[in-house]
Amino acid sequence: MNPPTVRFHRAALFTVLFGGIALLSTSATTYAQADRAQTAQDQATYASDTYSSDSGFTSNGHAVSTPNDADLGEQEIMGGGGERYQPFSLSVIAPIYYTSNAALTRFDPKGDVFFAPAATFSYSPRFSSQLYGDFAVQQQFFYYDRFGDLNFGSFDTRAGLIYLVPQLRNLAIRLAYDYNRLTVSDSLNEELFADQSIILNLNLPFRFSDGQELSLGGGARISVFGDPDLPRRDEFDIYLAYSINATRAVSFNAVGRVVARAYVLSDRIDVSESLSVAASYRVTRMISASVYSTVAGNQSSDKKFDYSVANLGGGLSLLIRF
Amino acid sequence: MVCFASAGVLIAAGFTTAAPLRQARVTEIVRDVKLLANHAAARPAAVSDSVTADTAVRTGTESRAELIFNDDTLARVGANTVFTFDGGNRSMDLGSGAVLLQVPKGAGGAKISTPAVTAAVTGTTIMFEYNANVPAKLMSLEGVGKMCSVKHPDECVVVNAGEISIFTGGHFTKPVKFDVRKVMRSAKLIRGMKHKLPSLALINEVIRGQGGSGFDENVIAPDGSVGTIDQRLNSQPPPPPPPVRSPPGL
Repeated sequence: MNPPTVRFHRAALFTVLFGGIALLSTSATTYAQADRAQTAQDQATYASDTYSSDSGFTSNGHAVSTPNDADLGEQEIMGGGGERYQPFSLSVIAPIYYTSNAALTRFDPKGDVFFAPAATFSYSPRFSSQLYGDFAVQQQFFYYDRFGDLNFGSFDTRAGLIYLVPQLRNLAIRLAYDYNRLTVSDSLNEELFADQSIILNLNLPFRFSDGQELSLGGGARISVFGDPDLPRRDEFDIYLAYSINATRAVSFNAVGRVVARAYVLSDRIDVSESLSVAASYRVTRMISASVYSTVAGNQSSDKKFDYSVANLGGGLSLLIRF
Repeated sequence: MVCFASAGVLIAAGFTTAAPLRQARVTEIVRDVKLLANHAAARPAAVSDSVTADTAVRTGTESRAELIFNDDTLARVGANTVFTFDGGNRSMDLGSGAVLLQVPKGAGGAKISTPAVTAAVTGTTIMFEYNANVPAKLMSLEGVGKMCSVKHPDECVVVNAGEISIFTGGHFTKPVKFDVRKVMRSAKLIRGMKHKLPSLALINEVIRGQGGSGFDENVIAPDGSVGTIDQRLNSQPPPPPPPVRSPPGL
């Protein structure tokens, strides 16, 4: 599965996991939508992709950096041939899900089906063999079948840097500024919440054998400004992800994650756990079909925000790199 | 596929006439190089030390070593490398690190094994790097090498003279030409060693084939000889695309 595709799929999955309490009040609605959309952003920070490593070559025509480069010398690729690093990507996904708890409520959960199309443009320029830029713009909409009041849109933009450490198993260190804006349904003008935050993420991949990878990671997301202030929170998470390319076209991945959220203007603290698994089939070079399943739970210092949820979904994705 | 078959026959033929690698002699040491014999404590290596199949060579940071085997096969071991060999099978194990391997033509082939990939060569000078969790690289300075996946042994890539292939994300990249002259100028496994490579003339011919007029005179063989060069290395057309799996993300 292509890393950006993974990010999107996970984003869509987690979007429904950590929202909640949307029907209780207006502010609670904002909490829920902030949860869902911001968690989608969290998934984007799963730096299981190591950028240069995936293509083998960098955007300036060199082999990717490895620990013994000094022994091997300068590995400049001639004539611009080969599978060179492609810093731009455009991705469109059209996933549909069934969720057991659409509003992420503690009591009397209601199931629903929702559609969450998204488009993302990203740019990851290579500044050196170990330093990359990390820029992305994404718009996603969430349309519920029975509970139309839950519909919302999420716009995200991110700018940051990623530093790779080949001597430490290609540890990826990501530092980024993130802006997230939630809107009512698919109206881009009716803003519900806007948040600015700083993201720090560490991702340590372990490649055991052919096509298998285990990634251990974690990080923090610190809110520096929000409008309104009430839904603002700082987040701290750890995760373990596994992926395997079973065949040339079929891949599987699983992600387990624990995140703690400390709300800035209150004493509320939430701890959420989730486990998601996905299978993907690459139909063509650019198009993939996937199915997903996720279970998650949330425990809050304010018990009315506790919930559990299970989701099952699938969809098509289009990814173009250039 | 023809390319694979040809390379396979070529490499197999090399192995069939091969004499075993009985022992090697340490011919050059840079900084921290240790020998680890079975059931014995590590000891610092010295020039002229004999290395047998039950002995591992381990290098430290910024360290290198050169070994010459009984059949004149040459191995240069890079920094932070663990290297052993199995004489009967003419195979070498690279636990981690980098190695430059030069197998004389007619001496028989050699195979380098790692947990993820293997590299096979005959009559070739290659550089190979493997470290867990990062891409593995096979670079041919002259001659033909072949790299195969351990998990999927039928998935291989042939790397011709002046080409590099990288094993990343469980897949091989398509071999592409790299600037051999720049490697010769900058690689510590070449410039950081005292001795000239026996295959230097062949490597220089590859450089010329890449349009390398005005290449570094320091990489010309001392006697300037090019008479034994296999011109086919550079005159043959590029092989058909091998069945390389596209790496994830492409």
